Amino acid sequence: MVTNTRTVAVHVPVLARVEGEGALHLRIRDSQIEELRLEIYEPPRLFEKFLEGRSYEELPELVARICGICPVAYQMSAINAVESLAETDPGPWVKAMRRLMYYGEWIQSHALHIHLLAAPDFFGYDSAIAMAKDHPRLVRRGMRLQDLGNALIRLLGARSIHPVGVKMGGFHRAPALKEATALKVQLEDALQDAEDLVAWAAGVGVPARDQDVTLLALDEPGNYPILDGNIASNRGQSFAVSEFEEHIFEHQVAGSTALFSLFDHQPYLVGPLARLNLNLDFLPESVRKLAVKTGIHWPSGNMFHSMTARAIEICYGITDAIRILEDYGEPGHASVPVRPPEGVGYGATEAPRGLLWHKYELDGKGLIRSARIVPPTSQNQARIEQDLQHSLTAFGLDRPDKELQLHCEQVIRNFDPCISCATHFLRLSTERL
Amino acid sequence: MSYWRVLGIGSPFGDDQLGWHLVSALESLLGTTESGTAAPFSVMALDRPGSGLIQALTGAQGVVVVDALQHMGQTGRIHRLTVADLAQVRGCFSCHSFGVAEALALADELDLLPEHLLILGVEMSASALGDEVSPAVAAAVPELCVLINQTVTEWHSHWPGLDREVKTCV
Repeated sequence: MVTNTRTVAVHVPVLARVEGEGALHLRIRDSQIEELRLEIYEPPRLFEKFLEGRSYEELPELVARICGICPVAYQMSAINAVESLAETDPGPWVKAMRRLMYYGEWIQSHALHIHLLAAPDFFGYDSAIAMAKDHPRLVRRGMRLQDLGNALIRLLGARSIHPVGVKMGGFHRAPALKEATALKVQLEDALQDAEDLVAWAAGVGVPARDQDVTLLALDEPGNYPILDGNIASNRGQSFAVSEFEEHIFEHQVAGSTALFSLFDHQPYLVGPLARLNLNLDFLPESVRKLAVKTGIHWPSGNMFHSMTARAIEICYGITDAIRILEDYGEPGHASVPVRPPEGVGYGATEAPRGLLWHKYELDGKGLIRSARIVPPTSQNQARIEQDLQHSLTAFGLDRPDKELQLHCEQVIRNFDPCISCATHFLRLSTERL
Repeated sequence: MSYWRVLGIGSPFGDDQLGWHLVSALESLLGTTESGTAAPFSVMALDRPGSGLIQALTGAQGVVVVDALQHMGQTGRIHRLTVADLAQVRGCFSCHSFGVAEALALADELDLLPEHLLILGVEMSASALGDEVSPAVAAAVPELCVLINQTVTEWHSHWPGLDREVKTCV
């Protein structure tokens, strides 16, 4: 018999289906959350220190190694930082190809998250393998989309994990027209899959969890943001990428090897839902209509709509990739020279999980004196804890431990945390005292 | 890509390099194949492929998957494994909760496993992760090469008309 004097402690020692290693500790006393702590115990990777003394030209290969899921994001933010210091304009072909390659990463990462990590929760399965027994077509569609994203990365990066085709100023080689045309056909064939995915994701029953959340994303003039622009919020603030440290403060939290970030002293959200909420009108008309047709009122304050936001971004990525490849032509040169002076360069791009900010101080020989990398998951950590507080209370703290645990895991997975990047997997412990 | 493939899974650390060492050894052997004669299979070195392993299996008629195994008492011992064997260890060593065992189990559910599949595991040493491959694990490589050649040749005898195009991808 549950009474209002029950005190509960839930400990999830390893949270599955997130990227990296972490745990959640929850203590409930007299039906109130007394303590809720996201613990990131994956060892710190000290990546910024590895970069010191290396040449800026090595950055694309080095930072790609931070993550096997979003290496392109790390490459692009690093390049963005150095090219901004060097005041390099890589030209329209390189910019278009970077966008194209980045879409590949969004498509593969989002398809992986929706089908293999998030979807099983909503249908009562403990894994995608169990779900595949009953929903093989759904999982197959996810695998097809993931493969397509990987093919797009390979077109420019030569391989999809830790790609090697990227360099400062552009690419080591331009894809042949024949390769680009063949991939465009694959993208056109996949568009129906992506549109069906949006309708499917929006049709999945999710809890009503509207929250008033501060959102941050790049504000790329005239475009759905990915590679450029100031950082803007839904509260009217806008600041340059170089001013990030004046607004975002990282702090150490006991029990976590990842840093927590606050924006003007408050938790905030980055990622697909933040991007979509802030930039719905920059989607191509066909994709915007599809987003509106879902029946979800955008902007949405419900993190459970993140899965639909990811599906919409897959559809957007495919649609815009087709547009880019319509006019594809092989350039005379696939890159321009980049000669950064001594100084500090700042760069930010929109990784699949949100804003990824880099800062590099270079000496006169182009060697890195210091580096600072702020990944999206550490920016979202404080928001995850805040969301858990809200969502668990709305869900009902007197629910059985197993239900509480599943709900916690769902809430955390909505953020698609990449703890490996932020330490930088999750274990849950609940105490009812 | 060839209908017949050998996938060596590894990482740059200690005995976990086994899959990559095997691929190098097979590439050397294939490189000495008589000129004008197509090699009997293609080889791929993979690094934590996750669900990407399914893509590497797609379209193949026969695949040998080779990976290092946790130490179980005899370093270098070669184990023939089934997808069902791997189900017992699912989730243990994959950082995204989706490693080789999960990828093969999912491929099985989706009917994407090749007609012929041989999964070979080699026990790592107890100390496991240094710079070098331990002598006992290195000594397993020639034996694996012989076993793989015999296996693929036997598979081939059932499907004499299938292409033998060779492509190496790392």
